[in-house]
Amino acid sequence: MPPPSRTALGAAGLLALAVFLRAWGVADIPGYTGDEPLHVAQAEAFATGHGVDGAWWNPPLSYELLHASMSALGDGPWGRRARNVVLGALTPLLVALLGFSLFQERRRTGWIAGALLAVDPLHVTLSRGTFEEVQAAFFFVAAALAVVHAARGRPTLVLGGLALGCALASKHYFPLAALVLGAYALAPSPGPSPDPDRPPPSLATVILRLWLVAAAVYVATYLPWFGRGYGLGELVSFHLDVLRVQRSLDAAAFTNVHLPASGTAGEWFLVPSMLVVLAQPGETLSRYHALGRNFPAWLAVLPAAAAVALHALRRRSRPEALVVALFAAIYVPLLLAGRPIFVHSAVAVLPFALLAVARAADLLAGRWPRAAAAWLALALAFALFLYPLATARRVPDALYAPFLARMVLVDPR
Amino acid sequence: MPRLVADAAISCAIAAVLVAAQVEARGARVVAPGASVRRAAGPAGVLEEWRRAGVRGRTLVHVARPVGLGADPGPATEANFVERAVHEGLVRRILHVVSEADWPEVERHLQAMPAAAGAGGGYRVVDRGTPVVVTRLGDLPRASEPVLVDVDVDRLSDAELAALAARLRQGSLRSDLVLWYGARTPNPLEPLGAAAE
Repeated sequence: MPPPSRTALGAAGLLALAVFLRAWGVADIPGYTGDEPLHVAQAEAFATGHGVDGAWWNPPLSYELLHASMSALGDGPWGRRARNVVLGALTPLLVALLGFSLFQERRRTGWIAGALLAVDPLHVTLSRGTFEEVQAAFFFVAAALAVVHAARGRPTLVLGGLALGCALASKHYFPLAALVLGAYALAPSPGPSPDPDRPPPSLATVILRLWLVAAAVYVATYLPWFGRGYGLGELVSFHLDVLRVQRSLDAAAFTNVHLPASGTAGEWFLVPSMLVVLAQPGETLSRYHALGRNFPAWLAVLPAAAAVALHALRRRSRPEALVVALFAAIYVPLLLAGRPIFVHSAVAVLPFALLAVARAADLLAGRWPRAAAAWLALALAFALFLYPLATARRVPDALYAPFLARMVLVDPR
Repeated sequence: MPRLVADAAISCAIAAVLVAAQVEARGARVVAPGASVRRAAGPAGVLEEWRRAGVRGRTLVHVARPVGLGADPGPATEANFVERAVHEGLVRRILHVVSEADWPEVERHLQAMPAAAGAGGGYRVVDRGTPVVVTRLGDLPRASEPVLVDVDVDRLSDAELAALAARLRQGSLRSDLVLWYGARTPNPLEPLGAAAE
């Protein structure tokens, strides 16, 4: 195990990298970008408990925090984007810490997963905007980290419940994963207990401190909505309405013309394609904006998840089982939607997808260290290659044209 | 023992959130003092009357052909005045009563909506988060709270209008403010208004 100072230094470096990639030039475009006009309207409406077209079914916390951020910093680029810059930059660090906690004997897993998320082009893009997924993923990874510590008898389950409540109240990605977290806290560890004085939580403790605390946080985020006269019974009816409406949605219900290009969730980790918009053409330098996918990492997700699942079964490894189970619990409901889904939703899956990839790479490094190192270098380099596209910077056409010719390139002219 | 105390404190905090939610909801529902049945100057007049009465967070029994949830800008009309009331927090849910004459066409439309669910003899739909139950007068569910009522008297048959007046008179439909508009005479809601005065 490296000495703590090296770990702290590495963590600081990871955080600095994540902050730099997300914050650099984030205010260059002072006007609205992406879905910001929509999200700002939603933030203003949700602050008074009101719903708006195309978002009324979303839980309110994301819009409430956006409203709080704009109240503090104004309706400018930082007021709108600071929330995601901060939470998006912290998420890779949390992923690394989660990796350390799960695989204490092999910290490399945490480092690789954290680094891949720090440079991930899609996560970078969304962290520089107002999308709900960044905040949702941050809170859910925080919840997972707290639960992993609680399973070892640490008093962090309430923290896990608070974070889980915030994740659930940010976007509806995690109901199944919340059950997985509870099951992990309850499942007995193989071998002797790491600390006999601190037993793992009981079922009653998990119900109260994780699930009921999360439910209470979730309900609390609806206080502006209750302020319109709705009662607790109506909150239940409202969620049944949300479920019914969501199940009846098809691609035709969305007005965004780019939705079909996002593909179904099943294509995210299988098809090497991405949507790129030609934002500002030039003579030799042009500005593109891509919903980038780091192909070396993303295409490794499904094989890695399968390999880690197999390894978990053979070794009866709870940490590996948790990573795969959380990945599946978030990803499978998106797969079952059966309609094109904006690739933004992949950000909710990404922390656990990349933990699986990192674990597989770490296992691979035990047998073929050069192959693992080469793959990791390729993944990091490809992410950096996509960075100018993910952040809408001007790039030389000669360098990027061969690559862009193979992608879904939209020219709005 | 400390664990027990902590669990008790957490349980209290959870209960406090639920109580706060319910208290917030109850406190947000503002009922007009007394009971009044009167004529309004069309849909825009209904909206003005609600604002003047200071009602908030209410269930609306809306007896008219259009549901009034259009988002079109401009002056309040029968197409958008209910949306204005929802937006301003005056109304939170809608029981939309459709006449027997209009019901077949409305029901065909609702049956074609994948997100519409059966509710009693009517249908439950949601408009930007606002729950709407579309029903005939005979299937109108009993409300557990006093409701606002607005009626386009020209859309109902004599029998339906008489039945609505009877429900209001008998108290099976409790309302602090019934507003009607239209040209029909005689109108059985008028004597109710005189009685309420």
